[in-house]
Amino acid sequence: MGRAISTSELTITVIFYMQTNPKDSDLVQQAQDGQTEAFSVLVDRYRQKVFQTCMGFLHNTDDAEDLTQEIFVKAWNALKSFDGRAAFSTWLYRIAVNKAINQTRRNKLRSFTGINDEVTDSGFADDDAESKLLRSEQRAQIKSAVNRLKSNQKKAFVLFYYQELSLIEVAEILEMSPKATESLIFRSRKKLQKLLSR
Amino acid sequence: MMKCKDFNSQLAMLQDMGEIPAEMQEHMKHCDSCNEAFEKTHLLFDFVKEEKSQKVSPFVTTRIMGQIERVEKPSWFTRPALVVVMSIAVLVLGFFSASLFSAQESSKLADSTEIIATDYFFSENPGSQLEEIWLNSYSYE
Repeated sequence: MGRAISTSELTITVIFYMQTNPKDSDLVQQAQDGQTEAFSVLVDRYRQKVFQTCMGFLHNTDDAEDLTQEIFVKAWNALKSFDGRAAFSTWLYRIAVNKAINQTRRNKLRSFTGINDEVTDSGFADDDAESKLLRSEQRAQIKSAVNRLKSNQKKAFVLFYYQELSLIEVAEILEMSPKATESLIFRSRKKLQKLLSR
Repeated sequence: MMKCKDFNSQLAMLQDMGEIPAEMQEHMKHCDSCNEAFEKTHLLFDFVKEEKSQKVSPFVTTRIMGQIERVEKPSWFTRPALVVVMSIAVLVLGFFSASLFSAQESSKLADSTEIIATDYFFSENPGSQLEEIWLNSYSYE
């Protein structure tokens, strides 16, 4: 049977936890004072989430990684303007979705001019050629449908489904009411269903 | 019996494709278009799941911090304006230092000439010392 933890042991554990897992607000404060090490901890903490957001918009790992880098560099440069009214994560995700939307617009322009004619292969080597082709067509259809969502719908869809954020968190990032956000997500799903059933 | 419009609305509200209400399942048995819509939504969820499972490279932090630190501590070569200003300053300094040295040389020469002239003209026996040296010297003989 496990023994009860004493108060002193609990205090030591809490202090150790706080030292090894500093709060975002403390790290942000240190980073605002110019400590790059503190910002590096924030990068480690949020890089996967930011990358997932980028994947939701760009659907390509290399492009998503490049954009993740750009987002964090932009966050560092704008860190002085962060006033702490919202959580750091909310502020960071807001930068991420806005940058990702700008990037998708640029990509649209590039594909329109024929510069960005890339073919992504998801790497299912065991599949036979026919199923691979079918799968590739389905993926292309889904990507096209997601890309045809309106900016706000796409932001809400990615934050809710790719990042698995709650309605309240998504609402905070998009600076909308939770009710309006719920409606936005619902409309994005309806539009996707419509686009996919064509 | 559920209508297609209601089916689509309920489908759009589903958060997990594993839990499908019995009413929707019943409707799908008799409606091909709704069945297809369900299949497509399933594919959409699979697509999102697959993309979401992609892991970011652990080196991305190094890349980000490298870029930030490059901006924070720019090298001499990343500050072209400073390099240009420094080059011009060195050139100007070089130019003026040369003229400074030449002015010093000419003033030294002028001073020594003046001393010799003073010794010669105001001495009681000008050039006697020099003549004596010459006369007592056998070095050219």
